[in-house]
Amino acid sequence: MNVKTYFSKLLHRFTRYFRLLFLFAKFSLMAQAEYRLNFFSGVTVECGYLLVKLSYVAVVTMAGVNIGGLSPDEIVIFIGTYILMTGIYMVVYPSFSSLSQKVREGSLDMLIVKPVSLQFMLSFQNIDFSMLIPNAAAGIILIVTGWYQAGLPVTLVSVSGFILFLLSGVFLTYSLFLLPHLLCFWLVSNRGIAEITAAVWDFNNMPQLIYGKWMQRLGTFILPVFIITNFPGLFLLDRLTPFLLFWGLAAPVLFFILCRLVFSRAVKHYTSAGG
Amino acid sequence: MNKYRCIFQMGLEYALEYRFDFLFSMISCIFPIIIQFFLWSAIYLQPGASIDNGYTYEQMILYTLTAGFVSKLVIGGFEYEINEDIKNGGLNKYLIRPVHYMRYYFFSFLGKKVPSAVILLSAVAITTGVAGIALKTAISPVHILFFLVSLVLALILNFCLMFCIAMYSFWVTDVSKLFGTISIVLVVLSGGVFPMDLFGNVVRTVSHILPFCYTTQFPTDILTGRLSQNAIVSGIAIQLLWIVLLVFIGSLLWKKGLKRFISAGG
Repeated sequence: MNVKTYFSKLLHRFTRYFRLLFLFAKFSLMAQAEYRLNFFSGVTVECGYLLVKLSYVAVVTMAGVNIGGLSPDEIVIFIGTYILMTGIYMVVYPSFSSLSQKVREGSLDMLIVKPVSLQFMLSFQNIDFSMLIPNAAAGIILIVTGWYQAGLPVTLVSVSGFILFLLSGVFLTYSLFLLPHLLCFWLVSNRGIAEITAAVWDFNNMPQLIYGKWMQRLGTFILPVFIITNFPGLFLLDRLTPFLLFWGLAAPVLFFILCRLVFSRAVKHYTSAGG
Repeated sequence: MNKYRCIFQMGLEYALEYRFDFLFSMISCIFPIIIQFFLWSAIYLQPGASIDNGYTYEQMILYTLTAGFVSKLVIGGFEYEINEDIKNGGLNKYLIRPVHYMRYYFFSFLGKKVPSAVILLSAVAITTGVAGIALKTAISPVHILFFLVSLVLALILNFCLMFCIAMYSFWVTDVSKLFGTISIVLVVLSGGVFPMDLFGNVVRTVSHILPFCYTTQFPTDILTGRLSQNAIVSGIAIQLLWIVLLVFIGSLLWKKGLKRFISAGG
């Protein structure tokens, strides 16, 4: 097969999956529009969590001191990014969390036989937009406010770099946070693991610079949760070394490969019990 | 009383059923404590920083170390079961049994809390002990005694509060998602994230009247040594007052709600 044919097939596959993603999103939205009260309940639940996150903003601004070398306005950018990314993560979270039930009850059988990637189906079948709305709104408002108040320049490089690291964070979130949910293929109940995963995610509630050096290294290189919400802000503040710039873009690729490998192994443990 | 002892034991066994889940859930409450520990250290230990929010650095660290565990201990969870009982008609089986519904859930709630209490109180003892040595602050035995008394009352108070909220299920068919929102808001209002006293005089005054901060902030403040003995005694009296009031409201809502119960699906 020549290179041209290979890329043409790859493009065709990519387009097919993109259309499928669009269809999943459309069907999820239609289902949510049917049960509107549930949709608004989702929004209110997320508003409750938002209250917790905003209490950190209140504490930081009321303290009025520089924390970890960052002014309160700069910290607001980091918290805003964290809130926005939480909203994006929550779009696929219902799919992730329902994985355990599908494995336990054997309802994966129907999905395995479909001519589409199983991982893709499991990741995007239940998309939820209700939790995205309040988080995206609050996150964007905080980022814009913090950016403006901190007097940071609005240039093509700063905006595009910020968005690039946001996208890199989205890809990393997918791979890194799907991994713990895959443990459900080995364990009967993973409620506790889901709680720990959520708690690890919440480390991003504050900029990584407030933590100790070893924690920062751990959260950047071993379990790179800090990349997700810290790197866009750090890029903006010109605090990323060339190596960190490279790592920020390479980590999502590496963890996606790891996620694919673990998923392939995990599916082999599926016993179709109860199906 | 024997039947309620059995219900208590059932709750205890239920809590230990999924031991891995239980262990991970206990570990997960350490993470927010770590975040806040670093946050407060960064704020207070900033060179030249003068923080005037009613808490010294030592008190704030003790508060952070304790509030997360206390909040985890007193939190409900049974409200979802009550909602299911009412929605799916499972309440029928309780109505024909010689048990009082509120007492049934109360003893089951207490039983489920035993393993958490043992682990969380051990964690509080270790962390505050280590922090006390590191920060050179001693917690007096009297404060520890008052803390334990107020903690038991906080547990009962939170049960009463959540029972009253769960009674809402009689009027709205499915409120499970709403419980999620209420639980989170209650954690914030109870001082489970940050002490409510930090957010200005108005918030402080209102929070000291409402029952929420007596479930987490009040017991935690006792342990930090921030409260005088008079304030502790009056706080315990307010806890008792709220418990009596909420038991009354809960009973009233139960009687009113039961008249609306249609046993659908039962």
